[in-house]
Amino acid sequence: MQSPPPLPNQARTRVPVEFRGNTREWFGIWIVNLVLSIITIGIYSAWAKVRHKKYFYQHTYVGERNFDYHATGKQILIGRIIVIVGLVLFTVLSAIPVVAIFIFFAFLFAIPWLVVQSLRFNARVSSWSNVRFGFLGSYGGAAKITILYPFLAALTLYIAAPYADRARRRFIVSNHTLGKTGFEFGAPISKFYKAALAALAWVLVTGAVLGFVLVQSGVLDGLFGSLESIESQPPQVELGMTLVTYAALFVVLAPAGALYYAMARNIVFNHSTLGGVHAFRSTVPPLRYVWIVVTNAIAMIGSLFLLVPWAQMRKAHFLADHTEMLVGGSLDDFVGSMQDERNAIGDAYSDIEGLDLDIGI
Amino acid sequence: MSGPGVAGRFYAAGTSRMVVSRIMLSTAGEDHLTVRGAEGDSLASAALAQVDFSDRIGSAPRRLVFPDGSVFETDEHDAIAMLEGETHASRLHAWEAFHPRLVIVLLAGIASIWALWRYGLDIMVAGAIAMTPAPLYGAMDAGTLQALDTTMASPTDLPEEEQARIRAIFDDLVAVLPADAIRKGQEYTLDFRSVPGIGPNAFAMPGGSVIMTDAFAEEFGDDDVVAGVLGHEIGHVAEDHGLKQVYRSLGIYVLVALMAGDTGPILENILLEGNLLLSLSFSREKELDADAFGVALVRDAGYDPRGLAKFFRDLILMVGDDNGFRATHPSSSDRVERIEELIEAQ
Repeated sequence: MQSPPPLPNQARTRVPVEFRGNTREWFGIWIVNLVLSIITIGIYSAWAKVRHKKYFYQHTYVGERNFDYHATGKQILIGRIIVIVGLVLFTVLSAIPVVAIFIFFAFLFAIPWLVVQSLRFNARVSSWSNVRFGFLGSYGGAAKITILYPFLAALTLYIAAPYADRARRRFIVSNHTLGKTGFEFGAPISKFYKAALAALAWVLVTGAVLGFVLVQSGVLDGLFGSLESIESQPPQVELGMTLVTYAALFVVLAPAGALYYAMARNIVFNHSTLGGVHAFRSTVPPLRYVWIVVTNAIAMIGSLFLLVPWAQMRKAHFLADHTEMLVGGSLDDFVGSMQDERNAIGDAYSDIEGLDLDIGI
Repeated sequence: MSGPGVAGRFYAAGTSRMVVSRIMLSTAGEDHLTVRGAEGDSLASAALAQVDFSDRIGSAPRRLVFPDGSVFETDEHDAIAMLEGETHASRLHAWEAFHPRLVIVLLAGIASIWALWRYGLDIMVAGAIAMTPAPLYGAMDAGTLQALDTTMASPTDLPEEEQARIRAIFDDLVAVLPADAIRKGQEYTLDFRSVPGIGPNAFAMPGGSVIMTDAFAEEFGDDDVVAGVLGHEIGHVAEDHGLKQVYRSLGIYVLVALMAGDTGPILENILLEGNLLLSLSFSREKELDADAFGVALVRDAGYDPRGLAKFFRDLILMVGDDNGFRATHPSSSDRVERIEELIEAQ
């Protein structure tokens, strides 16, 4: 799992990824961002996003060279206004039942376009060592990973879901470039099945334990009892329902998601190269990552969100500490390429609707 | 006059080649910046005013971009700050510093969240409603009614004279509506349907169509009860509760999505769940508002406002009293209490 594709005649040098952010600095930026965003009823959030991204990118180094983020607040704001107007139209028109069907299909066909726009924009406004990234994926490719493959995976009762996920990650990685140099991706399917089975095992085991505890403690009694007398549902039943929902979220679903995320991240890094010359290595311990994510969530809620910046720093440090680049040649030889930046509509859409393009990089 | 300059790294436009270099300021004539390599060779040169300074963010290196696209990067923050002077970005950076002053920012943050929640959302929702084109309301009503007819409703079986009697009550109520409750071109209409699935019921759509089920007309014949329930439904329309709810939850959703940033999956779920609970609380509040509107309207039209309270009392006997924070409507007993308070107060 850890060995990158062999590189003839050249030994690769291990260069760690370093994240140099610190909580004191980030707390100040975060709170000022938040306050200015609220005072301006969300308008400043476009500039806040740029500052947020710049902070994380500029403090991430590979071999004394850092990343940078070049989008402007104005670009982000225009994208967001267009998406919000679209979202309002979508919501209001969806209230008309017949029109809703047309809207749904129009929206379905817009998704691959939004995905490509978002990936391309984000690649173009990101750089490392003064060279911009690029994204070359097509509408057709995006349609496959957003509509066709998830649909086919559902037909197999999700037995083929790891294939769909690998296709998604391949589409994203192998269409990215650093300047004129492309990324390549070649991970075997067996590892994705291993990760999916690990997540499934977590769900089954913790789900069984949680169910047992709930039955033993009697929280569920009210739920079943109430079925007989629908007329009066005591408020305790609702409280019980809410409690069960949160317990399932904290103990079963979110950790399983984090487990898969960490394992898939390792797979993607360990089987990707840059121009066939440089390789990457991710050694995130999945269970420790689960611990970080769960304790972060508890800290954020327990502190009424004041510890959000601390939690974000903790996670960024943890991920960077388990990532390195295996440099197979000079880092001085990347050359930028001209590519149209387009607009920030796709990016704004993925911000607002949580379009999942994150593959753990 | 040229100093020894500031150490940093230079990149020609669009390349990753890192060149150790120094930047120097010459103040002879126009202020001028020159980047020199290890051998003193000039790598880039431009008037100070033409060089673009990246914003200072945390302790990240500053980037100076020359007109030809080449970049000089340095960690010497103090020197660059002196060169640049005071700018918007540098003032922002000063506010962000970890300093007791941040407590003021924090308090301002809490106060502004409260103000946004209390007033800002209502203003945004009112703006969105003002911008919603009138034909859309009619289209929403027509579409919803059509969907209802194809799925669960069938034509009414009520006798003509019974329909006419209830319509007359409805017309009495609409006649005394305040002028500002009727949008331009809007009409309040009453229709009857047989909808066995939902029992005795009445509901309103955003455009002004009110639907009453046959079961309701059969179970609750009393004029005052009919007036009370119709007044309540007209209240929903007049106060735009349907669209307000849609815009409000959309607004909260967008604001949270834009401001929360990257908080991770667990928190995101909790925020969304919170939004749902809040929208239910909004819904219960609006039911009470519609009750209040209905009570006043019914009295203006000359009916007994206690009709609505009687309806809820009968409802408790029929289906019991539901309540809780996951419900869309307040409990019937709470509503009876509120309505009686309103009648006494007036």
